[in-house]
Amino acid sequence: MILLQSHSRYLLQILTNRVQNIDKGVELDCHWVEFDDVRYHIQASIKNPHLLHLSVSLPTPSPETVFSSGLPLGAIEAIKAAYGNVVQILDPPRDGFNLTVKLNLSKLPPNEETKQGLLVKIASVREVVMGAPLRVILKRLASRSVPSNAGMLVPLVHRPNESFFLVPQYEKVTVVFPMRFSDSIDTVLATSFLQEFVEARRTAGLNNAPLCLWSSSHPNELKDAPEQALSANAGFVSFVISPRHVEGKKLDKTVWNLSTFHAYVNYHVKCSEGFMHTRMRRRVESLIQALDRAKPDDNANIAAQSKSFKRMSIEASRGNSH
Amino acid sequence: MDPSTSRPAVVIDNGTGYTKMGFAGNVEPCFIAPTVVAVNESFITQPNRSSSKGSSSWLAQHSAGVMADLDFFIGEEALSKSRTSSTYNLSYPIKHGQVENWDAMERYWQQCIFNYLRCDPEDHYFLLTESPLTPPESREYTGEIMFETFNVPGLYIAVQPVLALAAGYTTSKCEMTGVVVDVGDGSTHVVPVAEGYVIGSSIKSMPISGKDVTLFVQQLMRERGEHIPPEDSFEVARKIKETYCYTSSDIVKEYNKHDKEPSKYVKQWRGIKPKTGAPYSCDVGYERFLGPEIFFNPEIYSSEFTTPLPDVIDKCIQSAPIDTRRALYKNIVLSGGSTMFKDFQRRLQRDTKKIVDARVLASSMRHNGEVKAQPVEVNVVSHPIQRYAAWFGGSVLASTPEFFTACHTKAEYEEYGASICRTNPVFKGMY
Repeated sequence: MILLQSHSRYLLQILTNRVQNIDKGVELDCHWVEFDDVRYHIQASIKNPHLLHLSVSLPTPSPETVFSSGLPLGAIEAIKAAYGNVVQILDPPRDGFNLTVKLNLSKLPPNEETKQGLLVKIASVREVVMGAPLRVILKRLASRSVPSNAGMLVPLVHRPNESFFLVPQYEKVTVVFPMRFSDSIDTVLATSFLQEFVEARRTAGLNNAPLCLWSSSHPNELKDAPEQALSANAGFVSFVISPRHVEGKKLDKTVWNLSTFHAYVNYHVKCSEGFMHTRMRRRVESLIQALDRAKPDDNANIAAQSKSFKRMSIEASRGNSH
Repeated sequence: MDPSTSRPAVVIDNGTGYTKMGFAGNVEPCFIAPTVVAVNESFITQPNRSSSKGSSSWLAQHSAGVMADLDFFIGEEALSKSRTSSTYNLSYPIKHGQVENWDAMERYWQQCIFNYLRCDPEDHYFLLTESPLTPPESREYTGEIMFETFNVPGLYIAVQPVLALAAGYTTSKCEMTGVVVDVGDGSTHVVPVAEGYVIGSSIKSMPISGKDVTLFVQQLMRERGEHIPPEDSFEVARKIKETYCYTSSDIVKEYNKHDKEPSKYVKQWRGIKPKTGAPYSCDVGYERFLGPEIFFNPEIYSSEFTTPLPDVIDKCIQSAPIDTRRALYKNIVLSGGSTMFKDFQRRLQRDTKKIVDARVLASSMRHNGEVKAQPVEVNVVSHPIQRYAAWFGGSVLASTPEFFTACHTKAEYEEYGASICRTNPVFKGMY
């Protein structure tokens, strides 16, 4: 697995199971947490087997980010556009959650393929909700309409109390990520990972990829950003997204990859640590083999030598000393 | 307060056959996946040419060497990948309840956390399980991987039978004394637990486990000459075991029943040949009850080990401290997928009771009836979540607030090293 999938595997499993066994509707009450502190809770009762209540809680926004009634800007419109009448938003949401929706499985389309497609879409509710403001901005870029806030810094939340920044312009959108890691080893690995990442962009095969830059100090775009956003121990990564990256179907993928960039780097840092451990284990094994080879295996010889000495028991040695 | 204690802990129960993973506080695990990793080994054998060619072959090297360490699959995906492509080799990281291949295990955990549960390991405390016979070194290894690779904030490694006992305590009473009969895919253990502590010297093992039932079913069907494609026969035997096998009360009677009414007892298995795609069908007969019978009459399967499971349980309890024996007989808990056969509990209870009663009778005969012994209560407990009892127990324990204080934290690990993982405290929530 190189990229993180946009749908939650567990949620999709629950939904598919539910749709297949709609007649034996069982009681369901599960909660789980995904990376970046996105929490889910799903509930269903025996009485109405085709109704599911899904609640999602989003990471706590940092002070500079704008949330309207607990959700990112444009999230409600995005949910309505993505799911149609299968999903109904409940207001107010459940205690401790940002969003509660009622899923009506009886309103799913009858066609198997579109039904499965919609279930996957529901399972990627996180992408729809969290990525809503980013999607709005990138859509404007795709249609090449002049943004009202051209050149203004737009902060968007992606981790608890952390945000990344967008600078929308007419021809491009610059996205800047301040990268923070709590562990010192992770920070070092992430820094070199990101430098490699920028390096990789320069190879011939990736000419069409978004321009990517890394710097240890904050780039010029962030000069208006609040102080606390400018402390990043693994530097700053910026991407320049041009309209060709958000055309048509590419939009969804771009939104997802940008909004989970930190999780992506974190995953690969952990993978490289695992890989290094594998290498270290192999090295230790080969060293142990070398040691084993160096051991003298002529035990018989040693035994023969030792026989030439007279063995002294404890008793005998005591007797000698007296 | 540490924010990670407010999130549910991640509970992963790695068994020989299946791994159960999920979040604490839920009733069932999120995923139950076979413990298997399919690794693309082709890149290891390739000569390393990064030094000779320089940056021109950067991309080739990149895709061949660097990305190949991510080129692996776990669980069902691994099984289907190895079937369709020859570049993937299957590796089973756990054998007989012990981790054998740490590279594969580390990769397995990596996928469990990032691909299946999709959580950030830095955000959650972890509860892992181990078999009662795991050496402390292996616990150290586990701790190293969890703290160094995944940076988990806290780790608790629990003993599977203790968790299985804990799974039962919510339904009836808070009792942490009992014998856990853990019949998994790869190993069978009978483990006495007193007040949450495993009585290590009395643990009895049996070399017959779920896999042997599958092998026996496979052997019976082969000997009868059922037409099953040989490359598929193990899988078919496993599925037949899971769907049709049950425990009989008496083999002779069961044979008679089958012979009288074959239409009622003989089942049909339908499958599709993997190579040609042609459908086939075969009969499932005596193996329905003979499969699980190997736990009660092992001599029909192997000539080396002939002690039936009830005898093993009795020996185990008899070797435990004398003041715990009555309590142990009273609470014999089943755990593991291979105890799911119908009426397994009833048969086990009956046979164990028979042994105990015979002993009580013999001792009162010796005393000429002068001493009246109190009858010994034998109770085999079975509950519906038996299949993942250890996981469920873990989920229950990890949702108590005491759990977080019993964990080894990352700070402790950094201060004292991996040796802190050698022991794990039995904590208050357990009884």
